[in-house]
Amino acid sequence: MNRFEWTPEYSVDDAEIDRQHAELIAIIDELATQLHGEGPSDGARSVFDHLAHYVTTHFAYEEERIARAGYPDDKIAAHQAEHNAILRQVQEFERVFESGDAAALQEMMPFLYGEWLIHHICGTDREYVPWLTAAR
Amino acid sequence: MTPRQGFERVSPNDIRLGEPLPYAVYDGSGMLLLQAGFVINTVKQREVLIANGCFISNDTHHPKAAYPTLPVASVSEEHSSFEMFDLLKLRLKRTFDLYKHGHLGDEFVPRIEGIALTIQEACTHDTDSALANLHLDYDSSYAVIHHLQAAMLCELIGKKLGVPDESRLPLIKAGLTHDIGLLDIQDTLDQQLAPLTPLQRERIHRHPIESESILTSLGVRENTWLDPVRHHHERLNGTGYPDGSSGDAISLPTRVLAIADIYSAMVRDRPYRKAMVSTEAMRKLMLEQGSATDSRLIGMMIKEIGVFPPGATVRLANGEIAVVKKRTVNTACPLVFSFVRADGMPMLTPAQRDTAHEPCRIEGMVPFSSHRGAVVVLRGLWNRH
Repeated sequence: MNRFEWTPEYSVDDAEIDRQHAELIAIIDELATQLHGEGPSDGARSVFDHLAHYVTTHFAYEEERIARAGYPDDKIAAHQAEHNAILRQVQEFERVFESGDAAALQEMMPFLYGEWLIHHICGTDREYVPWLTAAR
Repeated sequence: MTPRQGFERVSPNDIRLGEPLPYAVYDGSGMLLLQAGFVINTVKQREVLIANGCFISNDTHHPKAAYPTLPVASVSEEHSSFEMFDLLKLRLKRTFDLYKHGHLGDEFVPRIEGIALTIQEACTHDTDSALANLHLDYDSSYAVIHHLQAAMLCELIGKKLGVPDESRLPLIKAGLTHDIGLLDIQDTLDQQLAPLTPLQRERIHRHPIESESILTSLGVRENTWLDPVRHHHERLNGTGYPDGSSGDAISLPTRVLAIADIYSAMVRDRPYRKAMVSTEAMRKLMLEQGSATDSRLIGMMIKEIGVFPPGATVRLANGEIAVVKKRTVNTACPLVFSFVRADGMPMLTPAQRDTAHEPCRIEGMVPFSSHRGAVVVLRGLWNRH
């Protein structure tokens, strides 16, 4: 059984963003499995690289999509700021992988799960749903 | 999922929305999901967390969170006021978020009151740690830190003026909410490098009135809270707004809030300028605001928080960079801990220095932004171990 799985409850009423969120959650789930082992492994590193790459594309798509749906400029700016903060943190963890600091690596799951899944996907991302629905 | 030994399931009722988690949360396999202090905001988020398995460790020997162990100087006092301000940042952020999303009705006033009381408690218990926390902050949003710092300065100056505890509370609450009329555009303003648009200028000019009416709509009735909010941009010489009041028409609490507001805005980074070190901000307040603000109150504030306030980073005569830990009776000679050697290399363990002793005399302040990398080591000076 997977730890984290996308369910229709997470839906933001846009099939493509939903697909990307499902993929992201699947990557986070895989990373959790890898990280729960004995410290930094090559497997964890390559899953993480995939995540870092995937998220850049996803954020760009999402920002473009909500702008097209008429999401107000100030809200887009705030959303982008949150994306940028996540990207900065992702870069920070790239450095942690480089340094092989096992203790610092343990902070990755609370970040991915708390800040990203709970606060962002289940929080901030929900705020644009009415705009996407209205634009359909 | 069956929990591993040493863990017990958390009931959904134990997770209070909008409150920092009092413990770290693990999944059924013992993997750390959320650090203590994380805030769950919505019912949906709580449902997701419960669905993912939500357990706490009931083994006190279980490592709560694997933080890298950093060397810290051995200071033995308790520093709960420092930690209290970490929680206050979360609580105020949460309150602002709820307000922005229209999810706050009657709850607003009690939330702000709770925060105001905690500020008073933290300042009474250990003013140095409370001041240091906000000066050393590097990642909270401007809106949160600015309001907390203004509120704390109101409390400190009010106390110095001899205002009794319960009469200071409305002013702390005014400090916590005086720019609420700008919250919706604050994030944009925080990132904007371009000059203000006419609309933004208009919003800024109107924000004291806007803040007052928002607070009224959220159930604030106390005039001692509303009045300083409406008038915190009035100036003694009549050049302020929105009403252009002058002199004695501006109440004492309003003057206190005006100074707290200007000072706390000056010492933070803004998109269009770097933060000023506090000595520079105080000098600027004294020189430029001479006829506009109450210089007696500025003098009082400087005396209260010190020329070199706790949390400030300073350069010593011997070339080391140090952080101010505590004020002493001599405002020019606080207790400091050096954390960068004269040759520019970081120290593994910060070392206490006596600034009354010539080689360690404080030569001046340096911006904290140049030493952000040291923030974990510096915060360690205030955290309990």
